[in-house]
Amino acid sequence: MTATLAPQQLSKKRTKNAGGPSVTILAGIVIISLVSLQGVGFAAFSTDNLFLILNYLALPLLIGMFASFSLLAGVVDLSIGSMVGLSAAVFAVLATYELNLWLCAFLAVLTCLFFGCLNGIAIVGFNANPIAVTLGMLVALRGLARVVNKYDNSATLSSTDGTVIFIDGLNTFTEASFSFLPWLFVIALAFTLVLQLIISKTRYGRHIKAVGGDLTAAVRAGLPASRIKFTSLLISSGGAGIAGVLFVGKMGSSSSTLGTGMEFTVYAALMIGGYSILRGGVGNPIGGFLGLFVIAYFSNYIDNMGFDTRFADVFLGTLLLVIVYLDIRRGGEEFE
Amino acid sequence: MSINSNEQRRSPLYPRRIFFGTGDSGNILALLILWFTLIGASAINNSLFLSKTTFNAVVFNMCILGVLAIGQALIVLSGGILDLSLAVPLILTGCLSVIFYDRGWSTLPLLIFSVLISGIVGLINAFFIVVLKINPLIVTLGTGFAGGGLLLILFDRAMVNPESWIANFGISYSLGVPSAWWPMVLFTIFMHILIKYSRPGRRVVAVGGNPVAAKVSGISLKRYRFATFFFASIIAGVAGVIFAAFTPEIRPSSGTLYTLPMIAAVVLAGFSLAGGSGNFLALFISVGFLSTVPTALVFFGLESLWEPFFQGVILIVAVSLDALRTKKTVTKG
Repeated sequence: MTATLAPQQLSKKRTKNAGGPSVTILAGIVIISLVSLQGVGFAAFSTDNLFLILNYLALPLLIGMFASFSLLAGVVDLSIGSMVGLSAAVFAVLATYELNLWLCAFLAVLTCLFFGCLNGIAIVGFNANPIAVTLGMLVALRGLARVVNKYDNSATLSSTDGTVIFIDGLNTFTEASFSFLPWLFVIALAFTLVLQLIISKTRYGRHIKAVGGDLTAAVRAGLPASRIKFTSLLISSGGAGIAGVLFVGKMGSSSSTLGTGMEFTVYAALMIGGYSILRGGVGNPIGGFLGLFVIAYFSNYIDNMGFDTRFADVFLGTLLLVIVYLDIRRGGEEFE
Repeated sequence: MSINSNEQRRSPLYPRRIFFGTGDSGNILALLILWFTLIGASAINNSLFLSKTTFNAVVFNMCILGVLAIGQALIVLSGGILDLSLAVPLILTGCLSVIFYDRGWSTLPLLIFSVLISGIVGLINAFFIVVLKINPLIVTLGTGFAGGGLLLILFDRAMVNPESWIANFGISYSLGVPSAWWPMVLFTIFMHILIKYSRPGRRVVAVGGNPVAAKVSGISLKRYRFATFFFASIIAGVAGVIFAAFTPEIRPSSGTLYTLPMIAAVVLAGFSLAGGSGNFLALFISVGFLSTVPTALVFFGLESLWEPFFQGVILIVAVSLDALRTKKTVTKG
């Protein structure tokens, strides 16, 4: 029965997939361009404005690309936003004790890797629901970041709201730019392109896609599925750790609200770009970059128009539902 | 991802072995021991723990969390995975009841209207889930985020009139405990009887345990999804009125504080995230345990800053244990 049905199902799926993420990306770019043209005018397309957008985009792009590993492997990691906050807190607090900065950065990333490891043990080892586990981790690490921020050694009043530490060298590095291209963005974009090659051309990339796409088939084909899922969670937490350190360089402080809601923005963007947070194996880094670009343009528009940022929450929440619905239309998993 | 995979679903006919003992009674006993260990350890650490103040703090924590957890448990039991948007009806009803009171509404229409309006949130969720077939986790993540933003725009804050019956309800006592404790107790008993002994209740369990079989045997999945999400929002709305009774100033952002503890309570109580199994009496005790944790932390000399950390850790441990138990049951066949 199923054997006779299989070819039909396959062909149906293929035609549905043919639309791909290009529709959502294109729709997003066209809509946001028209809206900003109408609201902001041609200034929305000036190099000055582009610089602002790319500067805003650089670190979320880096975080998103590292996190895309876990999306691709089918284990969504909701704790990345809190990991950014925790890494920034650890780095900034250690830096106030005037330790070697490289050591501070190393320890900050190591802390994130440790918690990524815990995520991995719960999700891969115990087979727990990734969303529930990483939701718990999100809250736990947000709390931990506040606790860590309290123990800074700076001259400013010790508070749980953040740690002020201006690091000259790191700031120059994160703020450097070539004409209207911030260097950090160039690095993130280069990383995206490398990732695109890894995902589409190498064996490891195809293995991740296979594990995320059809776990049973991947296991039967002899792929080390657990190890791939575990490393993908480690990669996403490590990326969040690196980004947290860079955020401190950029802003000169670690605030305890740093990274709040970032997982939401980044995943909404990646889903516009063709990734799915409910099934692995779909999406590609360049699509993800374009999705992030749409979201960055959108928040730039809200800034330029002086809108209340609370509307951004409403918009993003609605957008998420629309995107997931489009994902279902192009072959995503339906509920019941 | 294996949220809906059939391997995770178990028949509701066979109770699981949990910690020790069999079935629900063993689970309740284990939770009770956990709770009393926490109370005992805190009391040994600091004898002031066993005071009227602690008792009141724990009871007040329980009042809101308990009612919310019952709504969440209904979703989990019926296979709706989780409702991450329950903070929206909570705050919506809280704010509406205050606004209606200030307009001079009498008690009964105020309660009915403010709670029913919050039910709309559940209907919106169910629409996305049933009609558009989007996974409930994503739907409620989206509606929770969008709804939270909308609440911030609509109500900056709501000040509860200290002279009002709402505020008086929060400080009044009946039968030796705060009056606000009773809605939770009544809801727990009501849901326990409903789920265990009534036909709609058994069908909720059937829909959660094995939706395919439930559908084949003639139960309308759509109707039960709409009903469970609607009633979960209504129950969260009732929690909203209690919330208004305790909070002099309701801020829309404060609702999200409850999202995680209520999930932790449901999972800790032994409700399987795959749906179809769970006991409301165990939920009562797990709510009691979780409500004691913040107060106990203070007595162990940790600041309230640590609270979210422990909430997160408890959730991760509970989810992992749940998954481990499910895994074992599956492999045992």
